[in-house]
Amino acid sequence: MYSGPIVDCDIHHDWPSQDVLLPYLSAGWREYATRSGGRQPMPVIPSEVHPNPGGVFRDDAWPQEGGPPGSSHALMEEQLLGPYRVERGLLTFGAGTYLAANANPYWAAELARAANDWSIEHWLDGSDARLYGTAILANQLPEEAARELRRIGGHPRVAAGLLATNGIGKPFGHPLFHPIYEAAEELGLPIAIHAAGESFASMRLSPVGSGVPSLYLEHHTLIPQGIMTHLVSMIVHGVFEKFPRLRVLLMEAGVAWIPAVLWRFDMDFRGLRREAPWLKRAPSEYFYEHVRVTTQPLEIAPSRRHMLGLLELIGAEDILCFSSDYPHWDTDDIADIGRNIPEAWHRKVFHDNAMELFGWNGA
Amino acid sequence: MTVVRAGRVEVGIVRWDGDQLYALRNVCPHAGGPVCRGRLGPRIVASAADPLALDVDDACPTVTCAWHGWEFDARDGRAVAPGSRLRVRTYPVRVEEGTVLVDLGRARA
Repeated sequence: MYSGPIVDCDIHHDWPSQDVLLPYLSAGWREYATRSGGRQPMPVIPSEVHPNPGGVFRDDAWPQEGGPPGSSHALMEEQLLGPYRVERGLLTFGAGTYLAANANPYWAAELARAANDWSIEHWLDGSDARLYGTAILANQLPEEAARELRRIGGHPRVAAGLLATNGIGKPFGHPLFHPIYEAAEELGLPIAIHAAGESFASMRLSPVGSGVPSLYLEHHTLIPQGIMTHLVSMIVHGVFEKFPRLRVLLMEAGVAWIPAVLWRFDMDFRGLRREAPWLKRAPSEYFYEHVRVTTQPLEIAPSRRHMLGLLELIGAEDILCFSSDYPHWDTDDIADIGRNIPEAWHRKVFHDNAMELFGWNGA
Repeated sequence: MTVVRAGRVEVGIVRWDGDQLYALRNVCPHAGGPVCRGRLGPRIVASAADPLALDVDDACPTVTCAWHGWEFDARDGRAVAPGSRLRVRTYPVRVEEGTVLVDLGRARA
């Protein structure tokens, strides 16, 4: 069993109450957010179309002192950072992850600024040297999102820009989003794309193809669809030709879909190349050079042999980066993941691949 | 582009830029389709920095297979799509006294 250091690429830290954002808002937005007189909550995140019947958190992750799971550093230390030997952890927000689902693009941009400032001040001040953060980006206004990434992307503990929700109803390869990638490349930061961000009533967008699911089980089973859409879009639109130093981390979509998409993608490219003649390599080559994938939730195959075969097919040793998704209900356990991947890969998957992606080697 | 038959072998004759001639076996290496029953044209090119500026490279005669649209360079039969190593068989071709001659080599006529 792997006993070395861990890089956890998906830890959802949260605010104890959304009211903690108020001091980080401008006076006008603070007034906007509190005009309800405290009788109704500030509309930080629109309601989800598909609520998890059991809630989205581990039952044992609620802090005794109150606040949602992920809001207590002490409990995070007790349940994750300590026992998992986390050497570095990437914080990806809790309620804030999906603020790009807000219909009001100006409010979303202000919320992103406030959330990022709050995160830097409360979690990335260096008092826990293991913790690094993401810049949550309200991508309804991509130019604003790029400005926000440039504003805080130079902070030594901001390790990536985070796109978690499709704020304008177009896949992430669309040229409208390119200012974000230009900023990321300029800063030398990867873009993390977190799955499951399209399940909000405000978006009038189905989180999966062919129609809006009815049950959380449908939605959650099909979460990889959104990530597939963004990945294919980014490659087709030539994002990695235009921004050749850009790296992307796909989060929380599992891995079993990868061969199906890449094989079909390469096949179709041969018959449809003339539609995207700016591509200079096969689609799968862009994937392997520019994209990394978090492990969680690693699918459960009928047998370890089947899982191993699939992982070998996709060259998982070099592209997977461990993630726990703490404190969510479908958290992956490190020992469990360790049993499902060959021991010879542990060092890379649990540590080295992420260190390389974030440019942390030698830092 | 014209397809002719020599015994059991079908060959596509490509005439490009006036007097350049190429001969390709009319079998697509992808799925066996009649590659030379498709379309002939210059290669479409573009830069990711300016996708609006789709252009053509007239120096690259491109055969697009009739079945699945896979593209091949008429000059050497190689697949146009980066990453593909497939290649349509090509034959030497020359003109003698107004007649196009294709050397099928050991191909069974």
